[in-house]
Amino acid sequence: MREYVTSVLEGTGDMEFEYAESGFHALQFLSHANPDLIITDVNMPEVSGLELLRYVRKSERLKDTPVVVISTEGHLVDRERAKAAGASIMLEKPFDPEVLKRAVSGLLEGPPG
Amino acid sequence: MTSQLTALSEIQDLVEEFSRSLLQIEAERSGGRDSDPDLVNAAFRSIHTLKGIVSMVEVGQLVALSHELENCLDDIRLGKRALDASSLDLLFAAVDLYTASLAHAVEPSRAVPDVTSFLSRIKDTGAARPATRSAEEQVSLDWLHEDVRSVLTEYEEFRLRENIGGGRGIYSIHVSFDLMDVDGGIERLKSKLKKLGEVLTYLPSADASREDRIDLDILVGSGEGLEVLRASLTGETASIERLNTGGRSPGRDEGVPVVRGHESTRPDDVAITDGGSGKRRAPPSATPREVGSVASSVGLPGAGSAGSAPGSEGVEEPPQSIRSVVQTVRVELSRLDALMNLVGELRVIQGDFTRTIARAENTLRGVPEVRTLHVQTRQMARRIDELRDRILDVRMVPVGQMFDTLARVVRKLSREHGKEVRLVVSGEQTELDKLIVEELSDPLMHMIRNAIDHGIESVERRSAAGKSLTGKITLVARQRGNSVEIRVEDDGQGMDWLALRERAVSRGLVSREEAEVMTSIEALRLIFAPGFSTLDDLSRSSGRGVGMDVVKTNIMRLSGQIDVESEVGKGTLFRLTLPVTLAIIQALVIEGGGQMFCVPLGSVLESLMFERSEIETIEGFEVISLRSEALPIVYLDRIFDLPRKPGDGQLYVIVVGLAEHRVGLVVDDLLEQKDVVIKSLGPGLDAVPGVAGATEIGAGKTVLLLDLAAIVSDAVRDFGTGDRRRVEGMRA
Repeated sequence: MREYVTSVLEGTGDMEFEYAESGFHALQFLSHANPDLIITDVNMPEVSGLELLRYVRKSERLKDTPVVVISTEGHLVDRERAKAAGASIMLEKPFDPEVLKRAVSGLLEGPPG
Repeated sequence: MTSQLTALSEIQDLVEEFSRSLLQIEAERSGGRDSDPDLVNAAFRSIHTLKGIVSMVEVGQLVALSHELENCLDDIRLGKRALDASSLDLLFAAVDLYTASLAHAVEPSRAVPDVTSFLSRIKDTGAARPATRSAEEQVSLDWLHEDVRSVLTEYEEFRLRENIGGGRGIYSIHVSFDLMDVDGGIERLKSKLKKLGEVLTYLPSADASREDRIDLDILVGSGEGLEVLRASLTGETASIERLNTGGRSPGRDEGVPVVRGHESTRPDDVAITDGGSGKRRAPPSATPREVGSVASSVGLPGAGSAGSAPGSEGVEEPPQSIRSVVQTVRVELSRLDALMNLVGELRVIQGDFTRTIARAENTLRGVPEVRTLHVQTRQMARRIDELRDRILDVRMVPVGQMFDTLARVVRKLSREHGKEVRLVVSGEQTELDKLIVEELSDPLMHMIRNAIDHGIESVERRSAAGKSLTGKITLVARQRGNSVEIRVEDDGQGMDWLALRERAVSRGLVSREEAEVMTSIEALRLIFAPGFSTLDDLSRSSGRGVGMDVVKTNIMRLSGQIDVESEVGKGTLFRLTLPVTLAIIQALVIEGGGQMFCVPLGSVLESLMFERSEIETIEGFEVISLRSEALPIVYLDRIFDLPRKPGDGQLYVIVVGLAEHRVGLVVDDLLEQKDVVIKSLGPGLDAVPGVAGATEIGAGKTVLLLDLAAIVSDAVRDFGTGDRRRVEGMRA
């Protein structure tokens, strides 16, 4: 999945990617890095995408980082909670790569003006 | 193409991981325990991740398959669908479909698997089982702090309700870890908590006072009391409270986060996380592990022991970069082959170099640098050998992966045959060259199939014979020096060597006279003879292997050996001995027809010197007498149409093959033994019969490696029944 997301986004701009294979690894990474964007799946072992999102939004340093949350098809509760917890964009797996590209470019450019 | 292959092998890994979860779930079920929700969720996550990857590669109907399977597993983990024997069957069938689809993607000549009918099956059974919801709607979560509840995933909330509905207490454990040790710390804690209940979720708090630590609130459902849980936390920096009696929230996250950040200077730095599969290997175990259809009381591999490092607390470890947490690369075998070839060539050049120095030594006598050169070339040789060993190391994979596949076969076949079979494996961590593991899986599968087909008796017959009703197949791997021994043993009906002997006579493979003097071991080895096995009823009832000649040929191609022991009523044991790798082999360099060849030393039983006058002719075939048995001979020069060496004095014979299929290969000379790196032949040459590869042996000389399996089977076919005729018998 990480490879897939990378292959979709590569070539859309000057980007560098860091990968975390679990919620904990993401927390380790976020402790010393300030990414411009976070993409997370809801379904992660131990620390879920929603919990990671809450962590980011509560962190003074990271709270404004855009977060794209990928959820399982049909899980409306997960979607709603992700939205309420401050997800910037929500995608359902499988998603159209173009949608991801547009979402990421939009988030990285920031609000117009 | 490379990225396609990478994706395919990633899919394969996930499917194997999925299959392992299923096997564990089944083992728990047959042990009479409830399925561990973590296992079901792990199975779900494997497919969830897989679903993302299959969309990258256009492989058959894998997208549709993954989609339906994810829905099915999602329903199961959310309690909307029962996890019973039939749904497990369906999930195992999916594993087969993935495997077949991957095989078809790699080799389009392979059959296209029928995904469509599977899809309708999975949809039908889903519809037939309406949601059997438990306490979901009745259980109130009002007491749970909104801050926590709002980030529970649907699945976590479901597990929470299930625990409450089941009368378990919900506890919140607040714990603080060094950020870099969080993996080890979590594993340690998890193994303690899993014994007492279910870990529902981990909520990280962003208000840690130090950025090198992480604070977590862990929600646990447990039937144990607060004190028991508290006692289990001894040694941890943790506090615990019960939530669902007083309805209190964990509520520790309200503080203002104190965070200092390193400014990222990178352009558009993107962090990606996913539900992907952290590889969890079973800890190496000396004790046999049971898998398969009716395994009982099995500890779950991976649960409980991974990552716990007693006594590591408080020890200052050097800070790790996040990048170093998981660092693996996937490499195609061909790239390693290319490296290995280079090392082989380096070694050849080094050998030439050493010889040149030795020659120059005569003319440069007394020059001090010559001595230094000697020392330096020896150092270089050692380094090259080390380099070779390191590359070999990279090719090694544990056989456990293959054993998992075999566990599925056992499960499937025992079902099909209505037999109860338990597979016990050990030595899964034993490593073999990836290539050998690949080539070995078919022969092993064949042996397992035979064991279930013909070896293990029906439940009724086992009961009548006073045996335990469940048959047992044992699969053991262990390293012995430079080779690996794999034993496949069953406790079935065994093979009747007298019956085998009769069968060989009736099929005209041996004469009555020969049969009379056969030992039980020789008779058992008849199952490896071409033309011995058939699929008729007689063979089924005689309980012996089918297609074992093919198995033996395949094992020989891997420079391996196979042998059999069997006892009527007790069972059968196949013992395979395989080299650890084929990339480099010990070879015997020989000469025939004025050319050099090499043969794998492991396949050479012995080498002898003979006078031409000792050759006899029996029914038009040339033989020599070896320990009063006729050994058929073939001439290396004739196989390859090479000029014959003049003269009629002594000649050398190398005895190749096994047991009753011994053939003497006549060569002009035996030159030397050495380790050689084998290269595959280019297109055009790879179809030459009798040649398996090529190698360089110094001074720019390339020699061919003989395909002894092909030479022996050709010779045996030509000789027909002649290869075992006793010389005395013919003389009489």
